[in-house]
Amino acid sequence: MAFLSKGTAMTHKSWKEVLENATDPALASEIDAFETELLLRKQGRIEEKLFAEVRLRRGAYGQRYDNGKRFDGYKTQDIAFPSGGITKGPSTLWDAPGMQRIKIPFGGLFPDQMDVLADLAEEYSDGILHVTTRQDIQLHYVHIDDTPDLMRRLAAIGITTREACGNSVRNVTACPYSGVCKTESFDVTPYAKALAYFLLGHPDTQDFGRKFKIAFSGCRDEACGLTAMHDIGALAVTREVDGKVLRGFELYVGGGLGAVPYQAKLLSDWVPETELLPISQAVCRVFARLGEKKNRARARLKFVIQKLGIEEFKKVVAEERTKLPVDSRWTSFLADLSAAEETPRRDPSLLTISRRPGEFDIWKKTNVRPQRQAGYSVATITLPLGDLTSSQMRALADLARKYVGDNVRATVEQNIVFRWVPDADLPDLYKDLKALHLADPGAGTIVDITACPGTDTCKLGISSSRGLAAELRRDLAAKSAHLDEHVGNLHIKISGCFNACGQHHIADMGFWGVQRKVGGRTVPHFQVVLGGKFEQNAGSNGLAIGAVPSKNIPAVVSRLSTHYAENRTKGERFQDYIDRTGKAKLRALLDDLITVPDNPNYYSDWGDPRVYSIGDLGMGECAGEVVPLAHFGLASAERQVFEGQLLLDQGQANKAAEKAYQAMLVAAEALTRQVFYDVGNSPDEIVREFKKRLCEETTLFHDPFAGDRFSHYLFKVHGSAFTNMELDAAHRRIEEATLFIEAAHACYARMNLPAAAE
Amino acid sequence: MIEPTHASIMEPQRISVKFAFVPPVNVPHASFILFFHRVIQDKLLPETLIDVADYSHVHNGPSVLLIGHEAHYSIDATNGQIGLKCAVKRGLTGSLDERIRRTFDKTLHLANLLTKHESLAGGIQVNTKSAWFSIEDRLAAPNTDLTFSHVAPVLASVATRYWGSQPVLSRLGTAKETFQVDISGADGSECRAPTRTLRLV
Ligand code: SF4
Repeated sequence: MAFLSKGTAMTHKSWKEVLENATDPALASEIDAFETELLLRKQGRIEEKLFAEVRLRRGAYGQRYDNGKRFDGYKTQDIAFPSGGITKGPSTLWDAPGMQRIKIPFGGLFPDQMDVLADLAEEYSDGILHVTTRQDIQLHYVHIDDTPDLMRRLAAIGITTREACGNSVRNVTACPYSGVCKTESFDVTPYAKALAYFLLGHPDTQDFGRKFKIAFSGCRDEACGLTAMHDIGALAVTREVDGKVLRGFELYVGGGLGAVPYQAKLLSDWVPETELLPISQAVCRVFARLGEKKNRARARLKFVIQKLGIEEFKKVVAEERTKLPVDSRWTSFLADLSAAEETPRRDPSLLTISRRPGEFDIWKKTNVRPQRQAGYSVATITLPLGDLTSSQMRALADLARKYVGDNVRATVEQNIVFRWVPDADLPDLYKDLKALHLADPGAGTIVDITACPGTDTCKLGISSSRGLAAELRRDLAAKSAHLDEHVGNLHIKISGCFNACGQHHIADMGFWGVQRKVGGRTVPHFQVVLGGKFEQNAGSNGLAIGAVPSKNIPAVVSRLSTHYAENRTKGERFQDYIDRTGKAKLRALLDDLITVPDNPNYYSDWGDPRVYSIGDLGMGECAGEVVPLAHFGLASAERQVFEGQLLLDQGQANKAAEKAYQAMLVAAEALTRQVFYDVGNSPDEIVREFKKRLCEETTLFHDPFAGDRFSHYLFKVHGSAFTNMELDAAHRRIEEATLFIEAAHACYARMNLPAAAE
Repeated sequence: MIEPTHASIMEPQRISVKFAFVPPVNVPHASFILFFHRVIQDKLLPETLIDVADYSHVHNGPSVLLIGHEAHYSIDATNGQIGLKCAVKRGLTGSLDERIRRTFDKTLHLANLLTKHESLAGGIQVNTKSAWFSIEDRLAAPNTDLTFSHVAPVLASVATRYWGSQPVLSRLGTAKETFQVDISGADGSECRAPTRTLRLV
């Protein structure tokens, strides 16, 4: 693969052909299947809702204006996409560019991956890579037709975009300091990795009503893992039993931000390491079974727990755990925990006084954190708004090779860290980063602002979170040298709407986008949220005290921080100061800023000269459509029959017949799962249970006219070898499979008839 | 399962051309944003335009982008020189010669608008003595001498029509970067769109 990113060969092949031997066959065939689904959707053979969820589960997300309408500042213009009426989801036009989310479990990256990510941004996107608050990388303005090749190139370097969006387990996050942190109980990295890959594509995580988020933290008191705001938050703890130190987790469940934030509740104060995967699996199964499917606003795990109460929820999970069939993967990763151990690129060394370039110490103070391992530090590369260019990413990959090897991570604060930097190399690294304009100080301080995409690219954005973040960053960076130290340590986080992707609830000063009608004008505003806690794993949520026009937010920050600096008691933290001062007084402090003055500047948003409007808001895809699991199975069966037809056209009779059989098997599994969830995965199990439950104990699969004829198409080929097939025979198999799948659709419809109509 | 799209050096889909501005550039960043919005509002380009993106916070990047279906235009500083870049992403047809010409025409057309538009108050001068050319397709066109040997004759022939005489072509960048070439007019000659070749639709 390396030769491709280094560009030493010229080829007339496709990426698919070139990467064939460099890619895990399972990943490769998933992407081939996705490419076929693209084709089927273009032909109108997959319905748009289903296709939307299919692409979301591949990380291909919609972007603002993808309904073909954009307010240009005077009027709403139609965007004349050439694809006409073809859609890739409800109100989502085919040619409209989208966002590709790329899952990076626990943010772990290595240089070759960074090179390829840089290449992809340059070739398929706009030359910018964006680090998200879930340690993902996102590319914007990507055409859906380019996504299969983009995914292939990622797959060849071990990255999947599977389940990056949609109603699925999102990227599993972990503190970027795990393994090198002084306060951690132990390194959570191998556990995060094992759980991420165990749940990826797992049958028990395919039928969620909404997204599901998991985070790991090495200790209780630092902020890094943010476990309290996750569906599952795993906090590393140890216990001594008979003189032996055992590893386990405090497991929290049902946390989440969104419109109404919930702090996660303790499921168990001791989940031994051997039970981490099965207990998490049990939680997922309970969520799939009891989670809301129709009302998306109440479809997160937090509502299941609210409804049942945590004690009842614990019982249900414990019961579910007992039902799980044993899976060797639960513990196999424990046999080789050391595989996750990192190898430093260079030997440890001490920083000497004499080798310090100008301003190095300012950078070091905020951006360098000594590791547990003497002679090494973690260096944070602050990315403005989480963005960096392709050239910067490639150059960072080279710096990683030079200083730290494979030890790079993306962070939830939208930065990148280099781990295992020998202390003596810090000045040289600083100089190299400065040459790339990536040596801004202020990591984790008030200038290191987190913001969601907001109105820039998000279909739901109300206000320009990134525009505001850029403005505040400029403003605060200019003042940073003179800022009170306690003010300097505050956190600012901004979301473009109440959905809280910018994590505004857990900031000292958080803002989320709203709008107000003032004198016949729509004016962009932000709700001001004060007193949230980033520390202690997102330890508490702040409270909104009122909406302020966007253009006055810098004045809000300035006034509140000055008041805090002048009025804080000795040792008083911002949250305590907020509590002590009280909402009424704080609001009074901002009273004059709440009024919109008669100034046209207020009628547009930050970084956008258009007259403000929310008339071109789109429909959200945050969680995709809720598509019943059986629909995926039946759609997959249809795709496989189609692939069989293509194979037949190419004269590959054996493969075509085998595809036809597999298509029937998939359809049979989808139906059987409706009546017996734990049907199993092997063809024998599927056929046995299908026969028993749909053809013998019941006659659900029987056609009112043809009786059991279609089921025999499956039974007769099950167990056959697909060798020496004539084209004619293969053709018949394809036709039989097509009939079987039609019968499966009819059966599914019968199974779901409302009782009154039966 | 569908037929793969094959990459061919003679039929690239992604070609970029950039002309640097004559320094100093005294136009405020906000004016470029305004200009691109005006291009959309007043439908100044005969193609599908989508939005404007502001990346002024990243260093040496596409500081303001006009996002289009067929091409993105940017006030670009990627190679340390601020200028106008047109990155065609799709829709190119015909021979390599035609594809390159189309990209040049698009870039020159917007450059012409940019220098005259009221929102920029004549503050921009485009340096047409040289241009930066790139094919953003590492599969079809890796940044190698071999690619250069295939592309250079066509590029030289196209460039001769725009510069009036044969310009000097020099391959740029590292093996990891996209295939890129500096085109410099001989004896300081300037690039002009031959009127007959300006084909934007
Ligand atoms: S918070 Fe709102 S605007 Fe921001 S990314 Fe989430 S949905 Fe979009």
